[in-house]
Amino acid sequence: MRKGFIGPIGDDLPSVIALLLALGMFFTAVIYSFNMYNQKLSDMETLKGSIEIGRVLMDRGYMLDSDIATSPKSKVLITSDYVKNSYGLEYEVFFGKGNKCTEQPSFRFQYLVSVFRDTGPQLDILVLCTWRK
Amino acid sequence: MDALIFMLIASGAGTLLFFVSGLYSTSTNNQIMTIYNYEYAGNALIALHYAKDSNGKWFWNELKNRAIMLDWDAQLNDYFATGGPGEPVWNTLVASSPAPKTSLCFKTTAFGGADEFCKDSSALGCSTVYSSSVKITAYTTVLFKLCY
Repeated sequence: MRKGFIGPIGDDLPSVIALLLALGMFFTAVIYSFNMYNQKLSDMETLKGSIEIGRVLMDRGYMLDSDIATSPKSKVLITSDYVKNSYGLEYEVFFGKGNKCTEQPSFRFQYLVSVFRDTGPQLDILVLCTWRK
Repeated sequence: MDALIFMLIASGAGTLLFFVSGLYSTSTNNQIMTIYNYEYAGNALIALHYAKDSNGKWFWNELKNRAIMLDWDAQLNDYFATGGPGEPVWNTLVASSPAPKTSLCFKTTAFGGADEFCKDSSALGCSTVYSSSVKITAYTTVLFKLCY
């Protein structure tokens, strides 16, 4: 046996460490990119779904206070629920900019809307908060 | 030497992947936000059709009446000024706006040239403008602009 000979791998330990480091870094980057891509795709779907819910809510051009009532659920909200379910979202909708969303929303959109109340039409701000289930 | 070259290539590719995915994840969803901005602007103009000013008069009719006067721009300015009948409508419009600057512009060809009066929410400049328009008289067009 030659003096100092550890074995075919042991003899080339610095190369093995370099190889493992490089492979580790490469695969970490691949996994990271994959996660980032999925996260971005999910964010974009949430955004797209949020805008579609907003479109359903604003479809008639004016609103009534009862349109955002949850019990019994208004026709507008029932239609919005179809969109919400197809995108796997949850949403909350209310009038008035000052109010806060009960959940931490992914997106918060505002719309100017005319609300027909007992006193007549009133300009109000419709706030839509959306988040993923 | 082979291991070193492999390490350089693999770590280089890894770094590139990190960089590209970082860029991708921080990129804005501009195209989808563009849709929202145009939809917001269109909806806002529809909402204004049903709006009433502080005197209980239809906002759109008041604008039409003022837009045909000779001193139309002064009339419109007074209408939206502090304490004016149109101020609450303007304030709600600005409060609901997603943009840092909101403008309601009136273009008229009634008096020869193409004149324009704009009510702006701030003096900021615009790099991107999303607008929606509606014709309120034969000569007057209202442009609602969102400036970013």
